[in-house]
Amino acid sequence: MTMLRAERLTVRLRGRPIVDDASITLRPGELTALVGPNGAGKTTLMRALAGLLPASDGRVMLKDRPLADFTPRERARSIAYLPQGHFFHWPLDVASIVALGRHPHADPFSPPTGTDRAAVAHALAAAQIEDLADRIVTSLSGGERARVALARVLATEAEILFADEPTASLDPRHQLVVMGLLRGVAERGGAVLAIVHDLALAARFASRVVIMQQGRIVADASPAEALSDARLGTVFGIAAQQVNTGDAVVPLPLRPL
Amino acid sequence: MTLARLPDLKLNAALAALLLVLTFVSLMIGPAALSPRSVVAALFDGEGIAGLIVREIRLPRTILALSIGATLGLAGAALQGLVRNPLAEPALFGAPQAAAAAASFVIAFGFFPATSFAVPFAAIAGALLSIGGLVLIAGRRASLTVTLLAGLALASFAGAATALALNLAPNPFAAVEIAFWLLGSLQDRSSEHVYLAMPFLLANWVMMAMNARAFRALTLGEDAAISLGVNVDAVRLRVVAGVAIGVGAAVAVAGAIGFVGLVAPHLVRRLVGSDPGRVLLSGTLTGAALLLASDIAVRLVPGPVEIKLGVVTALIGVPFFLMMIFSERRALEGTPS
Repeated sequence: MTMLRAERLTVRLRGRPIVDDASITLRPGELTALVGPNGAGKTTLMRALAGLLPASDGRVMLKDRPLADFTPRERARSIAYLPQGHFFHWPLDVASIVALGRHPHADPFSPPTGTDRAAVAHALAAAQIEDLADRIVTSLSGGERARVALARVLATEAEILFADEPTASLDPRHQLVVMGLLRGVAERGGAVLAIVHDLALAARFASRVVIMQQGRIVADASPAEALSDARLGTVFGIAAQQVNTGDAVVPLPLRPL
Repeated sequence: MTLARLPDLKLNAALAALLLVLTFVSLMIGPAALSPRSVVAALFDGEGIAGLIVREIRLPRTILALSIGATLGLAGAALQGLVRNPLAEPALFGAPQAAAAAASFVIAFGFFPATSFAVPFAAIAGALLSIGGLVLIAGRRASLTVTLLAGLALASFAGAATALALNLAPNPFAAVEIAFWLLGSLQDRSSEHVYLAMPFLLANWVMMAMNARAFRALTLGEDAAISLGVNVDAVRLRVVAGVAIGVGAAVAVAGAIGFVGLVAPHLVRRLVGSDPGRVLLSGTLTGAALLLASDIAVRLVPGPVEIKLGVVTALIGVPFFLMMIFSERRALEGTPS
């Protein structure tokens, strides 16, 4: 079964193709890692897949219906999107921030329903931030904020979850916690796409790795196959050592080529 | 940091009670000494001199102070919700000045009389230029620094437009008229002014009230808000047009009155927290209370000439603005806002 499919998608910004003829399929139960050098077009591809940017060519299909035909509200109930940076512009409490994830479900004229409250409680528990619920989000540490941001997208309970660099600027422990959470969403039947810079995290947690280079998708395979020595050399310009961690073989970058 | 939280209902009820008291005080004040009982009687039966004074002079002035204060408080809260920044205030971007310049061009050059609908339309066009310019320049990311610099440029431009109006004024009377618009006052306003402004003020209230949930979602930034199903372009259009209509109409009848939109939401945030949706209603009521209290103050200060209302709000608002910059200076010094 296919959840979301991009067919020969091209996105041009100011005439320049940022995403070039990209085809990708997201399936339920899979955590797909999107990797590639800086400027490869990963964020632009993700925003187009999430319906935030129009396609210049090609199209995105959500459950076999063109994404462009969905109303913003319908789309928002199916696709949750976590942008880069985890910015919070107002000093709100954590519970209110996480409750924003219920926005696509909420009736503007009635208070939150039991379903909304249960989804928020569940998201707070999943992200292990129940004890932070009453804290002001802007007073939290980077790791705490990242988990609040993640809880906000979890609260939507969408079938598709996009996360743009969810582990950036996190300490090693929180990187593992966040990747584990994303894999948990996939294991419960969600389709997850995460942009990740740490190839070792991608190799260990993702069921599939998609590699982008200069706007094109150059690999879409199992982690071991996608992150081969040869490809690490041609795409990332690095030499790496493949290390067996027991549960996976992960590339450890050694030096630039 | 935890913020003291008042339930909205309690706060808004307290503000409404305050507005009632201020309204009564405002109806009591004036050169003619009337007892509280005769003011109430005059308000309801409208007979005799007392009826004329209360219903035709003091009531329009009070209604205008309340509704313009509410509009300015709401405009500030809405603009701040849109650009996600507590320092956004129409007057900082020269919106009232631009509106006043446009309105005074129309009057000073004798195109239309001062109570024609052409005046609010000209003022709205002036305000639209300023607010639209700000939102365009501040753009998607709406960083604090860019927002304030854009505001500085727009306020300077509004100043230049006003100088041009003064420069080209065909006679001294026109120049005085323009200066009068810039000071802002509710002296000698009649029910005619109420009818002139009210349709626009009401339209502004409706347009702003529609955005509460969208402002809350914008806390996460524009991309996240769009991904949550918010039509950010529609919200932006409603706020820009709505603030321009509200500020323009306010300026058309009362001249340039600034900083209510900065002070009112800030006071409210200390009580209900920063939720940009909840700030809308409480900020509106606080704006009404602030402007009516200021208008009562200008009438109580003894002296040969009444101090203009816009002068008072600026004298209170600008130090307030400096204080807010001081407390936001960490964000201004380069940490991402």
